[in-house]
Amino acid sequence: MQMLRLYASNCAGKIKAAVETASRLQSTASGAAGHKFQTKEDKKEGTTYISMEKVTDSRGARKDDELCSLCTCNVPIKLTYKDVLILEQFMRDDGTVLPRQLTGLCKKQQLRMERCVMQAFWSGLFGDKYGTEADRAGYKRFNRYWKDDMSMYQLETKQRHGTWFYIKRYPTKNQQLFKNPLN
Amino acid sequence: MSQLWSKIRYGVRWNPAERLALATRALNLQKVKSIDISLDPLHHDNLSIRTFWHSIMAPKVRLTNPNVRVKTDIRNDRRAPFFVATLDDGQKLHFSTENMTAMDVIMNFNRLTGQPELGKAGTRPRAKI
Repeated sequence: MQMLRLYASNCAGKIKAAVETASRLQSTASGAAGHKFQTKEDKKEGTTYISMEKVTDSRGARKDDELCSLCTCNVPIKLTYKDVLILEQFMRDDGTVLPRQLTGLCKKQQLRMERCVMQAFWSGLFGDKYGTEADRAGYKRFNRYWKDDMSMYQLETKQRHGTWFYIKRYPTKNQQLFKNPLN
Repeated sequence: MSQLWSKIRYGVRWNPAERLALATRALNLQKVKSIDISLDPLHHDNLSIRTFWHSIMAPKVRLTNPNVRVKTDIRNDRRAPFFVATLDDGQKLHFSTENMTAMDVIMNFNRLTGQPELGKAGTRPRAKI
């Protein structure tokens, strides 16, 4: 019995070590075993010591049945681009979106949030709060309003008769009568 | 979809390899006097320091300051690798690179030597030598 227990504990140790190495190989930011590392900077007598310290993730991995903050009923309706104050909580000061590891949203809601942020930019709801560097050249210089967060993938355009759309669709000035003049 | 989209999503795309490449481009040894690398080749976590070593020995980086003295100490104790960079103003940077990726090492190094963390993306003109 003693032997068995010893063996088991040895095994567990080995598995733990293997998982640790695997997580170390993966990336700095996160690990499979919940090990995360963070840069630590110490200044002592003209020397700056930079090392990685282990950070314990208080939350741990997400469970299967756990809902993200937008999937629960805290936010009763679907997020739209008009909910600027909610969107701002998922953004940096320079107007970019935080990654999913930081927002803690599920994949679906994260993508929806990103789409909404872009639509809010395009519809001018952020104003110049995040600077005017956002690319609003060409056809994007006009504010645009959206029906849905998926409507930016919509390819069909609705054509209305009798609008400017149909007026002067073809050039009328300085046109040759014939392509190859005979003379 | 558009420039706007990629600009907004810039922080979401986490591509460590791309970041490493850009950080390596930004390497500049102008303010560095010497670098003392010390590593155990049999230590499990020495890839990052070897990558760093490799990238500071690249000709383009060497040309930024040919007077940098790079000294290497290959040890045989299974201890963590580290390097010490001495700057022109007498400051020392002691990096213990265990658990760091090469990207972390080079980006921190750039930041502490007063360079931009990431270099410019895109094609570069050939250096005139």
